[in-house]
Amino acid sequence: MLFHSIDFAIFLPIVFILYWFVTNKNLNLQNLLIVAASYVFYGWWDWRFLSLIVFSTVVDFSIGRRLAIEDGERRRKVLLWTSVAVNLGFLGVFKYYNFFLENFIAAFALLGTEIEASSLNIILPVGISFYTFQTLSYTIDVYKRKLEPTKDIVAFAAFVSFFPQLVAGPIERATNLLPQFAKERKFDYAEAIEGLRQILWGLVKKVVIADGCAEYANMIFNNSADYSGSTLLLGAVFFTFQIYGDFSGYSDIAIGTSRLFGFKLMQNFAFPYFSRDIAEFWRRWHISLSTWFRDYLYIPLGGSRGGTSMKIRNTFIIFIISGFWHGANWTFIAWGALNAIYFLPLLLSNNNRNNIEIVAKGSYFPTLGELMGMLTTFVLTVFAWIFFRAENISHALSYISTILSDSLFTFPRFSNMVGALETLIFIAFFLLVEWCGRDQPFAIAKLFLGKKKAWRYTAYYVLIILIIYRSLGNSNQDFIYFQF
Amino acid sequence: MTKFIKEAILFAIPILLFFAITVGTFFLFDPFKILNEYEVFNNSIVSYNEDYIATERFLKNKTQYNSFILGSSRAGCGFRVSDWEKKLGNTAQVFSFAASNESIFGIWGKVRLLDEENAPIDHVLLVIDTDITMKRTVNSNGHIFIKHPRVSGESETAFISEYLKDYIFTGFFVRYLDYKMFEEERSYMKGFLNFAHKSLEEQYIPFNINQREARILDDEAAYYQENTFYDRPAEAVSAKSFINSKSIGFMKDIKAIFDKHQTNYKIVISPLYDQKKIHELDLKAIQEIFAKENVFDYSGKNAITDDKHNYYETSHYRIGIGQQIINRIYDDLSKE
Repeated sequence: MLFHSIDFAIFLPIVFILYWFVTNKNLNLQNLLIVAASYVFYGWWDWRFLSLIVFSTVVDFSIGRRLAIEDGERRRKVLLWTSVAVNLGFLGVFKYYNFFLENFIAAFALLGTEIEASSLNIILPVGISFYTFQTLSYTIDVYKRKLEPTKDIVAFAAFVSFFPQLVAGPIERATNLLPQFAKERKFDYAEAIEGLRQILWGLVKKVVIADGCAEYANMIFNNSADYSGSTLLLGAVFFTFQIYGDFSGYSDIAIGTSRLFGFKLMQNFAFPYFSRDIAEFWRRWHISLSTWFRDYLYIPLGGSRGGTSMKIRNTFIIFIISGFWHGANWTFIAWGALNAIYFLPLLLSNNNRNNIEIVAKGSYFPTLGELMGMLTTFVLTVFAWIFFRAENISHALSYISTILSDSLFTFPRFSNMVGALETLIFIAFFLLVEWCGRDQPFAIAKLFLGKKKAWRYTAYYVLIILIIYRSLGNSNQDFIYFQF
Repeated sequence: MTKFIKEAILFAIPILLFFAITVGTFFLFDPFKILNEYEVFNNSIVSYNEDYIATERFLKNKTQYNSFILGSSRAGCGFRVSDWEKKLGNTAQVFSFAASNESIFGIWGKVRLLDEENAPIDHVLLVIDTDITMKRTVNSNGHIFIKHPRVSGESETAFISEYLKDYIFTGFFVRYLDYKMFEEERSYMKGFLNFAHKSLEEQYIPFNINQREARILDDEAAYYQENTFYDRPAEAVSAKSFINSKSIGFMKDIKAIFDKHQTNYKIVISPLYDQKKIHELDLKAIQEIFAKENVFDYSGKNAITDDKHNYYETSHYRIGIGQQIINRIYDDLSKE
């Protein structure tokens, strides 16, 4: 079920009413409703893959219970690795099987040995990378004794399948989300209103920005051989805003929806395109995944504590795996490696934590230095996104070489330039609002709050009309991150 | 909570208003003519769903027919009912059951419907297009292509909501209501509203073919100068293979119904302008199911496909082509 679909617009109020009016007296019943609603939400796409979620839930719950009573370190390790193997096994089969098989065959072909093996026609279950990492965090935290394993399988199932963030995150830590299922929830008016505002802004990001940009990014990337360097550059910029609007929009809707049900999820995006360097960008982009990798991979590997070679090794590992997490294609690996190359100079010169606070905090405009930093980071990011979006490495390289040719200095030309100009105007408006709200959890968190109700509602209505206007004629685009 | 619900409703006023207008006008005006019963589908500015109209027409007059033309709009344009009736003899009552972008799923649904309705299926002319027929094995999307619920076997609610979705989310309602209020043709309505239908004759003519044929007959040279026909490659090209286990299953079901009714059927592979020869695997599968002697392949390079004057545009062949093919099939058979 897509967040910006009629189905969800009907589903959400029904679940909300049942949750607060029918099951509100009983915590278990509320959790059970969440599990049922989440399974309907997921099954709407393909009910067959519900079995994977159920299996993962049962395995990790059982392993958690066993870890609670098991003292022997060896046995505890076996239990941990069983959970890791099951979860990563699913991910490996559904997401990476064909990739490894094809590359294995290609590698042998290079050595002159022909291997006959046919790839499988595997459907990638939506959101598998997200809920796999979420359940893994539970087992690892229980293993490390950071978290008391739950005895309540319904609460655990609700934690694994919680519909607002099931298919595209934020990837919640068990330490944050699971205890919330054990606590009695009381309806909080202010939180619910904030939730609605965040959903509204998420929809603006998705429908107005991401779907608008998608039309041009897809057209230009899919026919890149037909366009000049300047058009390809514009295509990359469109994709840069598409992926941000798409993914952070989803996160906003997920967090906003959770707030309606009395849950607090972690912030997943913190205005990454206002970052002054790549290290700051990675503290602001897909925060739930970056911190997951930091806590469960980077730090166990030694983090940045060792010598230079260790730092370089760990940085590459973390970025390449992060790239590979996004998809079974060399383009994602190249995207990860490129970001590692961007990041390393900052790490090695101990400049990776220079910019912790949001840019130009407390003032309207950035300094010239900050502006230059933001522009440089943005350009580097746009360049890296080309690898992320390209069909394969050679497509990315030819795309970049066309950008770097003389045709970069020509005027961009493609069909429906008027529509593209309209989208660019929306991007400018969007950036302005994001800039004004950059010290908040989401851009319109405080916007118009001090104003009269009439003004506030005029602003909401303008945004809603904008969403409706941009929805018309736009085919319902899936969220990009569903495929990861 | 009450305060929140009031606030949420206030918040949603534009959305509620939007849906009240769009859903309200959809049910009030029935722009696609699917909510009420109609005798005449002409004089509408909305492009028809030929599948829906044909199915409705068949269901109203099902006792009249015993011979059926099945296929896409190419079959609907190219094969005239009267041409085939002449060949079949006095007892034949032919019904053209063609639909835009027809798939094997749609053909299967129609044959099943004929069987369910106990229609005598004495003769069938099944026209297969190498580029579309076997490509889709599920129901089509969109208001022009979605199958009649009796054909698809899906619910009427799903059928109507597909129309409602198109009406709202493609922005169709804006064009439709604009025209309804001001009765002025504007450029942004192109592709949504079909003003050519306004002047159609009283009797329903599938696929509006008479207008196109008349334009050619009026001034052939001008017609072929106005319409662009791309160049085909000089060498022979094979079409993609689309047949899979699902389409084979559909064909076997169709064949079983034909056997049950002792149907005299002919399978024609369309002479498409692209001159792509049907993939050998697809042809083999079709021949295996329907028997070689019943399959007539006109795809690829041949006298029909070589001449662009046999086409209305690069997709549809002209009425006379169907007649030529029917003549060849029946003349060859009579020689045997």
